[in-house]
Amino acid sequence: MHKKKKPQKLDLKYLIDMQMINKWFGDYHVLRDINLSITPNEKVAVCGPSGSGKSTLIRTINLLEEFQQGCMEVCGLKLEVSNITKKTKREVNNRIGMVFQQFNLFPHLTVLQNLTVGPIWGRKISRQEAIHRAKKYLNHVHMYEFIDKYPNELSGGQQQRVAIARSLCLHPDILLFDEPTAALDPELVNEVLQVIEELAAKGMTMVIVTHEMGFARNIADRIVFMDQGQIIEESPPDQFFDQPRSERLKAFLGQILNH
Amino acid sequence: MPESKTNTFIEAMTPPVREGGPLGRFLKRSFSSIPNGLVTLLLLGGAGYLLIHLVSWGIVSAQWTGTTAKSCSNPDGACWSFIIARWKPILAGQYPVQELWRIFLFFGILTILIIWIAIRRIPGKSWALVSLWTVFPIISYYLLIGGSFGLSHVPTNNWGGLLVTVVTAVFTMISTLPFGLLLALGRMSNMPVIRLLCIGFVEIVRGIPLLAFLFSAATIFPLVLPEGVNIDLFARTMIAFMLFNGSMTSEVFRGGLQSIRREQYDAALTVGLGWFSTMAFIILPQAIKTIVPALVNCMIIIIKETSVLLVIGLFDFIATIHFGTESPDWIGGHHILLTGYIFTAAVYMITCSVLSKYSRRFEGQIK
Ligand SMILES: Nc1ncnc2c1ncn2[C@@H]1O[C@H](COP(=O)(O)OP(=O)(O)OP(=O)(O)O)[C@@H](O)[C@H]1O
Ligand SMILES: [Mg+2]
Repeated sequence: MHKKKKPQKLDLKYLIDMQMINKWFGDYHVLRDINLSITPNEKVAVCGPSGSGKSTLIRTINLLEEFQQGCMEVCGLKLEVSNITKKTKREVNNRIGMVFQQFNLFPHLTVLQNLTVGPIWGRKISRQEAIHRAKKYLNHVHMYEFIDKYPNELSGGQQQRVAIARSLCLHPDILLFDEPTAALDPELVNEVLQVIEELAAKGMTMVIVTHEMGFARNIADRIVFMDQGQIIEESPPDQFFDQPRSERLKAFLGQILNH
Repeated sequence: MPESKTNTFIEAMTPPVREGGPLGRFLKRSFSSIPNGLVTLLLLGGAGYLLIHLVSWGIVSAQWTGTTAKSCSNPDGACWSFIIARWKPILAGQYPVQELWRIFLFFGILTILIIWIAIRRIPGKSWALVSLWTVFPIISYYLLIGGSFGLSHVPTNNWGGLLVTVVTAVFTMISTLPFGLLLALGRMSNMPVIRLLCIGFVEIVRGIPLLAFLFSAATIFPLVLPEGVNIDLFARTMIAFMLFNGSMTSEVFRGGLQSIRREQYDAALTVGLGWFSTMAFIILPQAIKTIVPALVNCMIIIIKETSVLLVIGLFDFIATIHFGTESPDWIGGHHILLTGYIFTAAVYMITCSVLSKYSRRFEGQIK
């Protein structure tokens, strides 16, 4: 077996440690004094009203968005405003996987090619090993029989499961999910949530932006509530739902739970 | 509350049969009213008249054999003997007759490559494409110009005819695609100097008419080159063609690149791809798929542009026809020149329409 060495095992207190992160889109202050730390194996759900900056927050973690103030440490890499370059972006993304709301599969590639293009051309892993990994993770997400299909031949739920397998092929230390079920028809939501739950049970560190409150409550060790670019409140699920402290969280929970 | 109701299940049915067949439908539409009928008759009549004349001129009264203008005494018929008797200069100008096999070999290789790329069932397309940009230019250079491998040297000022036109068209296409792509990528670069250079080049060149560009390139090139370096007119023209058409194709590439959504770049970054592999494996394959018809259109324009070669002093396909009628054997009549021009037009037209038919097949595939 050609087992490549995994990048050195991370022995860190925090996999993600954001300190006083601020970000603007033009004049719009979209992230305000964000402090967020995530320990290995932790599962953190992020929720909040639309436009509160949840996507921007997790896209900042893997540097798809740049921040303008503050600093953070991601998987041992110290990131400051001044050292965000193409190189650090790639390094960070070698450690972090991401699953998008709109799946973002590569439409011109088959399922197998979608899963192997990153490992082969980005990580210089042998083709054999890349295919081996792809098959393994397609099995995990129950998509093995679709290996030669193109994305547009799959349902939304199937595409999202392929996207999850794609990010697993890179053996990430952290997985980020940006509303992974928001673009799905209701009857397809569960097959995706189930795959994520299986991953959680295996000990993957995850940050999940979601509107599925029942799911968040089940899976998360901690839930973060965002509003207007700030983290208003963070607490374990039971406390989050049963004893919300801030008025804004109470109002938010009132809106989404009672209708 | 409205009353709830259930409908009975409807079996699938075949669609109603269209009446009349294709000819019936054509007649019905063409003669649906008196004015429509008149227009149809008029147009059909005109087309028929033209066709009859063409056949009578090109076949019935045409002259096929003979080696001088005297053989073509009928001014109302085509003089194909002119084309047939002069096929060597029309094909290759002053290229030495005993070396003509090199030209046949060149055209043979070119034809094989084109067929390989164009016909879907033949496998190994990427090999054909790769050789088009690597071994093919090198082989063509040594084959046509010679000077090594025991082949005699044939300087480009002895070239002529279809050879000059085809070489110019083919190598302009081959060079202009990567150049246009580089310009488009440069225009999207986040390095300001590169971006401004590319924008400036594209915008300036796009604003200059081809002939003005070719003339000034022909005179400016020798001035900017270091002393002692001499590039012949043919090479200068090919470079000028590449620069001129590169600015056109770069706009097509830019359109294709802009049609790719930002999410694809995000996804590529999150699976660990760098700039080069993102472009090569994710962005360009998708972008090029959408612009194949536009690129083929650029190729058609390049083919048609080669008809100006005569004006800047290259002895091209049209030149061999034109000056052929001034050679001592073939002085003698307007109809000989007309035959030559119709022949040239037909060659250009057939090549271009085959290309555009080919690109329309792609348009169908994209959707
Ligand atoms: N690229 C951008 N340029 C400018 N403004 C942006 C950009 N992306 C997001 N915004 C703005 O930033 C704010 C936060 O956006 P974000 O997508 O992070 O919200 P969200 O919490 O994920 O919302 P949703 O639940 O609707 O996905 C919004 O007001 C949005 O309009
Ligand atoms: Mg969002």
